[in-house]
Amino acid sequence: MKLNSTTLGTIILLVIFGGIAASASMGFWQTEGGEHQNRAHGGEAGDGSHTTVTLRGIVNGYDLSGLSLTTGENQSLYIQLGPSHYNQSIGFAPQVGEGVTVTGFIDHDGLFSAMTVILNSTGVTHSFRDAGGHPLWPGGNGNGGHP
Amino acid sequence: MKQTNRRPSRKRGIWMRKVLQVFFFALIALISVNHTLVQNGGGWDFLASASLHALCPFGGVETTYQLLTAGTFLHKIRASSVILLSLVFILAFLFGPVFCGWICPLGSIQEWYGKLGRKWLGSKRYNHFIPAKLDSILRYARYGVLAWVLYATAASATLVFQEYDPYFALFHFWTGEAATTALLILLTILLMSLLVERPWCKYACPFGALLGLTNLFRVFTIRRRAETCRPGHACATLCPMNIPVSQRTVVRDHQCISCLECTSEACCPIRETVVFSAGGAE
Repeated sequence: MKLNSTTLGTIILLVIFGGIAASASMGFWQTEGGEHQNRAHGGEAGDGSHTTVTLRGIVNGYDLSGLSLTTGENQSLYIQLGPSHYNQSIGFAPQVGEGVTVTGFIDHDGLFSAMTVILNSTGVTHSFRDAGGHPLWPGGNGNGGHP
Repeated sequence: MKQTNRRPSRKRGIWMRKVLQVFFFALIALISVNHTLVQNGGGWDFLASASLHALCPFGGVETTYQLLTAGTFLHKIRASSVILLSLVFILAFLFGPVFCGWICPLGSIQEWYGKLGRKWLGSKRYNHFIPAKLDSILRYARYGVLAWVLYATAASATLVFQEYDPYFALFHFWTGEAATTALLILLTILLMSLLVERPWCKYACPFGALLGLTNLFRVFTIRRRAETCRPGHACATLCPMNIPVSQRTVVRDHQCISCLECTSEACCPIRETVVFSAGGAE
């Protein structure tokens, strides 16, 4: 059984574009984690009316672009920081087990984006976004959400 | 009048593939730009929640371990990644890694740069710079990259690969979110594409490595009829992945991307000699 390129292309277009369209219409573009975070902290993803939230927690992971935290309510949260080069350039290097205070907001992706992180042991404040939620790293202007 | 099996002189490539490559590149670029605009308070609302991560089937691979062990997705990964991964695999089981040859925007941009290189160096020199022995060894490097990505992602429960991912860099270079390493890798790939076609796909792409395995048992495959094949070997010279099609009767090479260029009129002048088909003797 032979297949020509036009038929193959049509099948590919229908399957992949159909999959993308169906995923969008059924809400599968939304993060499960993001929805969870929204429910936990009262933010509303995607409506441009985010509220600033401050929370305390213990670092249980740092992947150079984000922090995994365990909050006082024993909830696990991922905190989006900046790109790794920026985080390193400001000397941000938290240790696992360290206590931190994070101020931020839920962005349009449903992720918690940090504006500032205070390392409780030293009291040093690290800034990632300004009061308007805009990233502080070069080239990142306008990349933040709108708290 | 003597009947000939030669194709008409007007040479045609696989136009449908070129159309789809442009379509998917534009779609992903549009969604990425819109994502930035939405975060600025603009953009189109109906695409508001879409990000590159939501549309990347490789995200489905990266989150597999966490999905199986904890029942959750890695941060930034959506259910849509897993759905797209399933669809890409279904297509691959049937037709081979068509995602690489027909959809992947990173593959497309390498190919477009490659056209400049081919024009500059000529078809015989372009894509034949790396010594054959070294090339055949390097082609297994992508399995090492795949193993590292799977291990590091499972161990850290984060998207470790994003820091190195040229695909992410390609659609985020204007946001400041792309890591310097990823941007340098992207730049290197684009420069290398002027000498070698699809260098990332051949030597480093972890998703290509995974999809390439389906070449071993896919239903539809490239077949060459030796009895009508004439010397010339344009199918081997023009293959973007340097597969010696003219030496095979059935192509089951792990690097085939199902681009079907070897079956085109531009490549083989004799009808029904290199075809894409299922069934028959191997």
